[in-house]
Amino acid sequence: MRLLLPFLALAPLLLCSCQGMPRGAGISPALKESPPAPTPQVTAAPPQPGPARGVPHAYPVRPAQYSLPVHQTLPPSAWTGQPGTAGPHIMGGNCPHCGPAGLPAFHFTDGGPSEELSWMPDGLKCPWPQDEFICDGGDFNADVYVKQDWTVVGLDQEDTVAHFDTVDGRTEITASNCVCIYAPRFAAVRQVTAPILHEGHERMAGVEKPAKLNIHEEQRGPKTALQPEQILAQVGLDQTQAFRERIRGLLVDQHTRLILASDAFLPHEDLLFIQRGEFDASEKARLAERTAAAVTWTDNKAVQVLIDNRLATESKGLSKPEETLIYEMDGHPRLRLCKIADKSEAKSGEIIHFTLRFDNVGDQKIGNVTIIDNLMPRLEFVEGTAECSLKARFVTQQQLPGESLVLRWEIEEPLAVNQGGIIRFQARVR
Amino acid sequence: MLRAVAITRQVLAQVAALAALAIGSPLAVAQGPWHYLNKADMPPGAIGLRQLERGGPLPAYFQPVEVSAPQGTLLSVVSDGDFSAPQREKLLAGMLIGQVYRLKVSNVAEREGLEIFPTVEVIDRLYPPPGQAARFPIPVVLTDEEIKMAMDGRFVLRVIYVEEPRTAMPIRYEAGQQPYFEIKPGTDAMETADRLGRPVAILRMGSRVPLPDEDQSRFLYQQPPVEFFENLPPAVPRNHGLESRLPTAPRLR
Repeated sequence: MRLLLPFLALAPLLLCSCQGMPRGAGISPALKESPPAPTPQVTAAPPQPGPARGVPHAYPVRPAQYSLPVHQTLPPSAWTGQPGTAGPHIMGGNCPHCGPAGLPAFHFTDGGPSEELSWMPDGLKCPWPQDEFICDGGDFNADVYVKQDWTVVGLDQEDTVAHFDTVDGRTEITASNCVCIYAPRFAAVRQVTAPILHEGHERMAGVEKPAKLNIHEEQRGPKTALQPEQILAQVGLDQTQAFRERIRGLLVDQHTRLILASDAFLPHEDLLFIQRGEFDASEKARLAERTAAAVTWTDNKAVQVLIDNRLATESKGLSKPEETLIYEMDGHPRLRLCKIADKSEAKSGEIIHFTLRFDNVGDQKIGNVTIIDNLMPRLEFVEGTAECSLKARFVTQQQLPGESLVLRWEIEEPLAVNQGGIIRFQARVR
Repeated sequence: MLRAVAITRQVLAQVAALAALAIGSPLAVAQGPWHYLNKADMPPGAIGLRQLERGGPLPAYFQPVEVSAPQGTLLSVVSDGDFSAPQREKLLAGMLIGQVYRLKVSNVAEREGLEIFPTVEVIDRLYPPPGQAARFPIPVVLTDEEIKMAMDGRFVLRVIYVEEPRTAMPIRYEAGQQPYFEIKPGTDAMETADRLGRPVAILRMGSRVPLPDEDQSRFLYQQPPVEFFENLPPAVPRNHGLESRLPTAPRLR
């Protein structure tokens, strides 16, 4: 027994030695190179990998059924097999980094985006890879809460939340969906080296001192520190004082009549969900494309909504060919917050228009509705672009110098049941 | 009885040692050191080859790379056994991952008669939206200072990486400018770039020039295939591929 104990002590060392390894080109273990096995036909919709990021009561999303094996969803040029032989650019011999013989090289074509399908590893949550996207919305760690003195705590970068007071004195918090935009940014690490040769003769012996290659670079000090551009929103240097800016939300005259509604909204807001807060079944694809998809399919016939894992009762209003679904909640105050952007990809310097739609979808009037958006560092708020369709007090706040900006809209009037509004602002991609 | 006490003491001591190992081993691992497989001073092409061995959609994918140079500089890339037609200041080409591409930089300001031949090695790819790969290339920026350093006999190494959005600096980058920082001697550039983001390309620039009696295919790294662009793809509208909006239903009361 005594002899076995040292061996038992070594077991944790061996098991734990491979933990905590950083990601990197040389560290991550090689993926298994197994030939793609054809997946069986899927008759039922597969479960969603996980709820939307940071949203505590996210609508479970069930993607549409698919019947193609996994490897057939990859573009023709993608290859996940073993290294092949005789690549097109090697004169004889094996080309270990070429695809199997016979596969054409990937080529850019004008045939449209259908020939270049987006690929991501199975089982990972979108968007992927995360370092190429900038996201805004949701509650990243699901830890936002409001203290007794109305201080919001736990607001992380990218969070977009709203808090409101109910008639029975509670303060509820809801988060929006997450909007991700493809905008990779690059930087570099530089190293400059110079060879130093030294030659010397000792006395008359003709000894030549061997040249030493001295990989040494005279340090010139940091050159990469770019002069930070002063944030335009920072008004004073006193960090203890909040920068308050009173900008009345511009009133957007929202007409509920069919003909005039289209003239008051931006092109990317051509959704009934944004204009009226009503969900139209014919818009589900376009809305899902712009949001994290807050609807779920339980069958192929209609859109159904699960809230807190309970099916909401619905009263239908029919007007062929579409359906307008009105959901009735039983005894719960609820605020719905939906966020969309006018672009799905942007380069540095481009401006993105964000739109927030908020609606009281509960069965009680709610008050002190406050919508907060913490922009991530790569999004720069464009001054003077904040708008709100209801009377609201708009405030910007920068928590720390150089940190992201927090936008805050405080709706002055309580929201009645089924009442809502729109908030707009613009942000530049840094 | 004494024997039982001695045995008890030994068992307690070994249990305490076990507990110390169980608590200390994760902490020791979390602190490092980590042994990186790839180093920045590895020969060109070695890191890319290892990346291909990991699998995934890397082989046979032409990753767009945009090489920028100071005003007036001419850029060429190896193509079909020779250098392509020189382009002024910007060169956009699709490069295979794991291959090494030799460039030719000429007509540098104040040193018009000299040429340098840097290399670009793409070690990872991007995953842009379908049809938008050419709009989001990997930028490789050659500064005037670095070109002249290379002409003076120094070796310039740049590891380009994708920044992590949450830890990126909240400043606006100027167009055509790629922020970088220099590392001290003894520090590995690949390791540093990997800690800051995801390395995607390596630029190596020195004063080496092709010699008349040298094997040109070796100097050109076996002349890998390259793709060129004539027109950049337009931005795809958000509603592309989706059904058109149906007439709005009347509001019900």
